[in-house]
Amino acid sequence: MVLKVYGPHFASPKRALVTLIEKGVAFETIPVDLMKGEHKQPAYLALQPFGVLPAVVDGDYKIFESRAVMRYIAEKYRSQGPDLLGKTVEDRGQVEQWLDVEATSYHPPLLNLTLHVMFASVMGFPADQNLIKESEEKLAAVLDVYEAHLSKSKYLAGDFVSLADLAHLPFTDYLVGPIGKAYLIKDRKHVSAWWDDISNRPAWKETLEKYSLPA
Amino acid sequence: MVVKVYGFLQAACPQRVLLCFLEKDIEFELIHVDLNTLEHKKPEHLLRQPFGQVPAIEDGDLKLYESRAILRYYSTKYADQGTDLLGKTLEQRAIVDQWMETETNYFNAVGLPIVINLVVKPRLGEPCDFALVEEQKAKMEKIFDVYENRLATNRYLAGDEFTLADLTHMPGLRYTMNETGSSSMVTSRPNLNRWWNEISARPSWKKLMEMAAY
Repeated sequence: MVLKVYGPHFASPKRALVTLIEKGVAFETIPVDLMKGEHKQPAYLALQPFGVLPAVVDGDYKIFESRAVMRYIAEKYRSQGPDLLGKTVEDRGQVEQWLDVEATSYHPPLLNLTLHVMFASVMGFPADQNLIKESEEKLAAVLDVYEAHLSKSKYLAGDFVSLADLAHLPFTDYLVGPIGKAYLIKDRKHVSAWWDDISNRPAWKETLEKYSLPA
Repeated sequence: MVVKVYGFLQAACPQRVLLCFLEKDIEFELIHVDLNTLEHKKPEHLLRQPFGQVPAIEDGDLKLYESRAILRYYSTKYADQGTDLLGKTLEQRAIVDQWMETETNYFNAVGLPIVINLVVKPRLGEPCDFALVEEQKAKMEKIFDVYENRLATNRYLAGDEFTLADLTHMPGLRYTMNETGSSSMVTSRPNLNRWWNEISARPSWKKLMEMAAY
């Protein structure tokens, strides 16, 4: 039975999708209609009790939280495709470190920008301009740290591409596109080079080609 | 070799790491970084943790930050020593990861603004955003409903055994129980209450609370 990913058109599920494609793992996707509130219906809540995306079903096994799914796939299919966890326990420690930086420092201000710039009118709340300004400042401060780090390291966890880099793809794609703040990336030489590198990987291009949000 | 932990005994994120070390019988040395005098934002500490946060660890040549990454590294490296905190199979480990993620993305994300406004800002003489606190508390109730349901059929978050999934919640839950006027959120939910009572009775937690001398 083929692994299934729910909600492929949205950003967080794409962390799982790009990992599956990098590792050459077969999968199916099942759309979830957020506009109709499908994610809050009992059938979906049975798979993801917090009512958010993604949920993944692999035969009898269920798992949610996109970064947990990334780790699961990277470990299960360790011997095929690029090793996205590094070679040693110490490499993996660095991968975990930067996955956590993405989750706790990079993602929260970027999520605020995503909600208030891209989705406020669609979701029916007023865009909070103060929050947008504050979030941009926080993200800029985090990106300054990334700039210094990437001037000494090709990828976040070392000289190999890992889950830590891939985790940044979906929401940064929003940042440089519909959010309209590509300068945050492009004005930083090493961050820009790193972004060009990871966003041009075939697996990411395929993810966007097949599962972009309909216009 | 003794692991050096740069941090502050009363701060949640260093506590997460120390609790793991106590569970796994890993020897450590806590090197005090004084958050009250903003030592964590000064150049010397920024060399260890460029985001200006605690903890950071040094273990011989290894340097690592982000408390949850540190938990995972040491739980993997010392899998056979002390409490097994990661589960035995890949599938079990992934469920541990899943509930560690829910701590980061829901419990901590919603709870941190509550702690900042009710506990940290008063110390700095800054005004508290009470409206935000109320909003976040309402969100936390919904999150705790999911946990309540999970713990009705599972002794611990990831299943039958105590793992990093439970451990990672404990420093934050201490704020919920003792410092933000939210303890009824836990005590009013029988399964959540049962789980908190059980995990906070662990010798490692008691030892940590003794060290932190609240």
